[in-house]
Amino acid sequence: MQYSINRRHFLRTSGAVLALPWLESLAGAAEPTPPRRMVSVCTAFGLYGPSLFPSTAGRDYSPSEYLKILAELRGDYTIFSGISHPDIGGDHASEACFLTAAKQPRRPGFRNTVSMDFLAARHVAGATRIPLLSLSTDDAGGLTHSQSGAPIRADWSPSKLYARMFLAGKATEVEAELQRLKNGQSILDRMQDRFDALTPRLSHRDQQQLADYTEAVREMEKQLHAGEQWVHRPKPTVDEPPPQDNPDKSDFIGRSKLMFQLIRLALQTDSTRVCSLFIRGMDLTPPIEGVKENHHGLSHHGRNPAKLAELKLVEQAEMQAFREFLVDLRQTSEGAGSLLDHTQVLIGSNLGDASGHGTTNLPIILAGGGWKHGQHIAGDTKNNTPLCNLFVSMMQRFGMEIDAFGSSSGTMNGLG
Amino acid sequence: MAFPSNLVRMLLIAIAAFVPSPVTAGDAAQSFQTDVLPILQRRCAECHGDDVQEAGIHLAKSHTAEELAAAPHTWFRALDQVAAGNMPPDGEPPLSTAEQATIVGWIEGDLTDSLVARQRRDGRSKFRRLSRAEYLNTFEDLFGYRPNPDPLPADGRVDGYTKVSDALSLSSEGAYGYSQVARELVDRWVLRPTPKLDNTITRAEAMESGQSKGHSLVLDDGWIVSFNTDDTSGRLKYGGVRTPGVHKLRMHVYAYQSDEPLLFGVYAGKTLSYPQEIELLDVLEAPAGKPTVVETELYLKERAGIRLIPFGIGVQVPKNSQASECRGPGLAVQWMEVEEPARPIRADQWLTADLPEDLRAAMRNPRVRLGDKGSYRYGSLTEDEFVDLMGTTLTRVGARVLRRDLTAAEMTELLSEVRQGLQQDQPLQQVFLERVTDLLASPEFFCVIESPGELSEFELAARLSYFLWNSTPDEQLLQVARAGKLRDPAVLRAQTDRLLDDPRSDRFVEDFLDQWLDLHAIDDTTPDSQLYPEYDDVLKFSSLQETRATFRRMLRENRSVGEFIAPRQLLVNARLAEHYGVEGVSGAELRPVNVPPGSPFGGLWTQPAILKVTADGSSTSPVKRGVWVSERLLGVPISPPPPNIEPINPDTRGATTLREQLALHSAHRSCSGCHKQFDPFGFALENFDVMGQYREHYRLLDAEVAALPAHRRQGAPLWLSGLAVDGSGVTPEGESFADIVELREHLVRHPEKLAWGVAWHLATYATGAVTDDIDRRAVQAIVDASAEDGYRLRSTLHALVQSELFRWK
Repeated sequence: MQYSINRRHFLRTSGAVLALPWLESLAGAAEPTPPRRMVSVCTAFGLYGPSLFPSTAGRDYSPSEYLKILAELRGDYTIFSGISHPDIGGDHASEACFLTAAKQPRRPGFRNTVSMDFLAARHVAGATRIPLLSLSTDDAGGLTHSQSGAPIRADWSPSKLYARMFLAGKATEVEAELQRLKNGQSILDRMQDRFDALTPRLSHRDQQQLADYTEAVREMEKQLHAGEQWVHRPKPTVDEPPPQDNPDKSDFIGRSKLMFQLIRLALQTDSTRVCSLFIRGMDLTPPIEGVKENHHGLSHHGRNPAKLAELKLVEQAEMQAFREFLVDLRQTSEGAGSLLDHTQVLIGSNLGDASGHGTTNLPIILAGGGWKHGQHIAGDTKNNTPLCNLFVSMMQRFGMEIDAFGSSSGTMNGLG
Repeated sequence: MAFPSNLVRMLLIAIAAFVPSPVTAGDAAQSFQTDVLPILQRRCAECHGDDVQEAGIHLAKSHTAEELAAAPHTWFRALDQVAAGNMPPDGEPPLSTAEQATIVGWIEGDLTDSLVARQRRDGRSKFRRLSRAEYLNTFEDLFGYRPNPDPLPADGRVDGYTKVSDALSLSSEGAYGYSQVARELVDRWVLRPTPKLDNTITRAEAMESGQSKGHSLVLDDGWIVSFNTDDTSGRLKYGGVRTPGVHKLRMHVYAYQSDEPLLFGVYAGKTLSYPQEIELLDVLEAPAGKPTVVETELYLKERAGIRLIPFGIGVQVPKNSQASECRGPGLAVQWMEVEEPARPIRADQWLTADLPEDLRAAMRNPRVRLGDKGSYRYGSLTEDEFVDLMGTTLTRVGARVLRRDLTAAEMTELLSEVRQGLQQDQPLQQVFLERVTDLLASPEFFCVIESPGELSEFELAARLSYFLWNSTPDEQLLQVARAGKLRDPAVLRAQTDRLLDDPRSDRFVEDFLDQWLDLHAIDDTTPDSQLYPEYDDVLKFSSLQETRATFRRMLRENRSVGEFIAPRQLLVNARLAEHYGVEGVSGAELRPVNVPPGSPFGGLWTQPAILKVTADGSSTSPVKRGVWVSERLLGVPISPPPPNIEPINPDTRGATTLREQLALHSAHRSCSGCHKQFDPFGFALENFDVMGQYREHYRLLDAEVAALPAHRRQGAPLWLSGLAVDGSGVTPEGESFADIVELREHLVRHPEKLAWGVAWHLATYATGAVTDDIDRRAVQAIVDASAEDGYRLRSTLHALVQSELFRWK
């Protein structure tokens, strides 16, 4: 038999180091420090501004119609106004830019850029079974974009995700999983060689794309290799029964609630530390008492009072779902505090005034993560604060050494 | 705007044709300095000079060759403004004819020459992977089935197109997806033990609805009638698809309680899950009263169940009510026959075609190795003979998979791996199938790779087939390339015609129109059911068919591009005839009828599918539709609005029209300069509502009626007639029009603009690089070539294929 040192072999022996989950590695230590986590949530059709934004800034703001729903969490979140990604435009296409801040997604030559959650996940790579939980309420993609701006597929089936995180497979299934990982590595290994062989053949204009593709293959080889290590580790067990997928496409709020429960479980068991959830907008009528028109149609309310009334019913239900999620995190104790204390939760939308596809004055809430909350940080509604300033602050708190991201001009003023 | 003096341009083309030495960016910078800069300093510096840079544009300064090459767009914007006489602005003396000619001449001459020269050297299109549609079609054409698309990398859009490098990023899981698809092929479909299929025709009897007793009507002889457009209808006693591929379906059906034929949909998917996940695959017609066998051919996925559901008649038998009391039309079904594709599937037959029958049978066992000692051995061939057989197979298969002949070095490598496998005593099946997955893991399979300069024969073959079939070249096209004949203009033309005349060109029509005309967005919004109760799925489905059929007919019959906006005929079925106000058409089949005299309708731009994708569900925007006409139909890109402009929020309460709100917005000088270039088209289209119905007044929700419970409305509409629509305007060229009919008369006098528009977009789709300013000269040459026979669609496409734009990287 011939032996040659191929890339896979190298990966295996060069020892891509895997950290243990913090619970395991710190078991026995007196006061284990819980890890930092980050959750980003985007709801596609905005939240009606006049019902969301408080009329005054600072700590003494009086809660708006929607914020009354979060009343019991007042000290656990900050509401922002006058904040957005500069020069985004692009109508609904701005969804893809919520966590990336890439400009003008509809312009010819547009290329997306890396998303905040991808960078955060890379920062803690290897620490958990699942490097990044990118989720969506349906099967058409999420918020995450790789280093080269490629969209990362989002999980949307709670039952499959639960099985992946918590259900131990039979021995044959584990074996099949291992075989699957090995097969994948062998084909990707070949792919990598072929990409490398292309380098001298392609023109200099083609080299960037080639490098991006090659990087994607290399990244996957690493992931498969790491996956092999995790296959043998026992999965955490949880008391919660497996969820049933919600078959009703129009019930995006019901679907997002299932995802919120899973996110809490995933964080609590340290199965992952970075999650993002895209709550996709639907041209369907959600099953909410009193709502007759489809959600997309309602978001284009054209200031019609009847439509606004229905839109508010939908958005109030969304706010309720956010409240339940945050309360759930706060009720889960961890270390000396709660899971919420160690989890930064960003909730917002890519659209401001959705009726005219506005991408300025976005609704943005940041909860948890140990920040001093309880205020309304009001930016200039004509000249918005870059949302990326908040992203930089969040990433710094996540432990990353970073001082610029996307269109940032610094960190978020007023956030302590 | 983009169409200044043709004479200057023709002269320049003539000159360019006789001057082979390339103009460099240095030459362009030189002529700028000596000829153009003095004029700019004299006439433009006040607003675009060192002190002031309006709109951020700094013209009047020296530019290095690098600066010129880096930002060509600025100069083409300047060209458009100068040629249209917009600059210098009103109140300033205009440029003299000589000054204008110098500026225009330099941009269209030296600057364009230098940019084109650079493009020829580096290539215009960029390395990319196949789009999802391209990959799936390619895979199907080679292997006979469509893999599950979910693991494949997701496509973005650039200028609406999914074929462009920048839209086609590759994520790590996307790369893994390719490996999964390759594994699935060899693990499940090739050299498996052949299943015994006792008959390939299955008859499925109709079944009662599972909803509740009496929910569907049971007649004698197993006839079942369904009355609902929902998934309670059309159950069949069918076990699901066993082999993915194209199936023949024969359905015994008729329209019950109806004098008219009834449309029904063939839905397939998970019919046993709750709720069912089924998708519409086809719409067919059941004749009135008389049992008839209706046939169709459809691609069906493995395990798919089927439902036959009346199309677009609503729910006539709600839950817990009796079908026997329904007096409306219903779909009567007795049985459906499903004829399956042959098995083993094409992938197996094709990959193993060179193997002797007994070897193929032996290799179906995954344990069989070469040699004759011990069990599970195949001893009829020596190692050399087996390697030779693999050589024949991999030469043949490799050329189709990689779309070119494999090099001797590549064959040597593949065969040495075969030999190595044999020497390690690996099973024959593994030795062979690993080489197949190797081929599928090659970027040359799932990417488009071209070298700078004129495309090679094989590269050109691939470009042609991905253009006109959205898929890989067939054996015949590769054979022409192999013979080195495809670059011969006459042969290229003949192959273009052959591909266009093949049914696979339907993929081009659908994929191109989805991207060019934004039809991919057809389901993004639903017209407000209270304001537009007339809208239904039959109209949506028919209108998509109409738009595609219109284009297909123009392509097949080589009709003038003028028909994009002013045809003599409409293609209608009963539903579209109702929409257009044409009498005497029944049935689902599209047929040509003359446009009624004085009708506002005619052409793509007034088709319901287009008017739907350019509106949201409740209101229309002249801006959005105006931009659509300019960019999509006329091929004149509109720059996005400056950053941080407040969007106009439609106010649908009825006190003002969006047009009036827009007038305030556009009154600002810096806005109006652009808006007057495209808003007028949108003004004329304001006479069509969100589903393309003609209107003279906007509709307004009647809050009083809407507040009543349904049974007390007594059929009163939920809307009131609101403000009158103003469909008048002034074209960018300054011709005023009262309405769409007059605007159509203006535009139809300029078929060259429509030819420009379609050539511009075909070029993006065909080459995988977004057409831009640098390509103006090339697009103009295509338009000029198509002028010879009156700007016909197929001729324009031929001119594109023959052009350097298409034939060079």
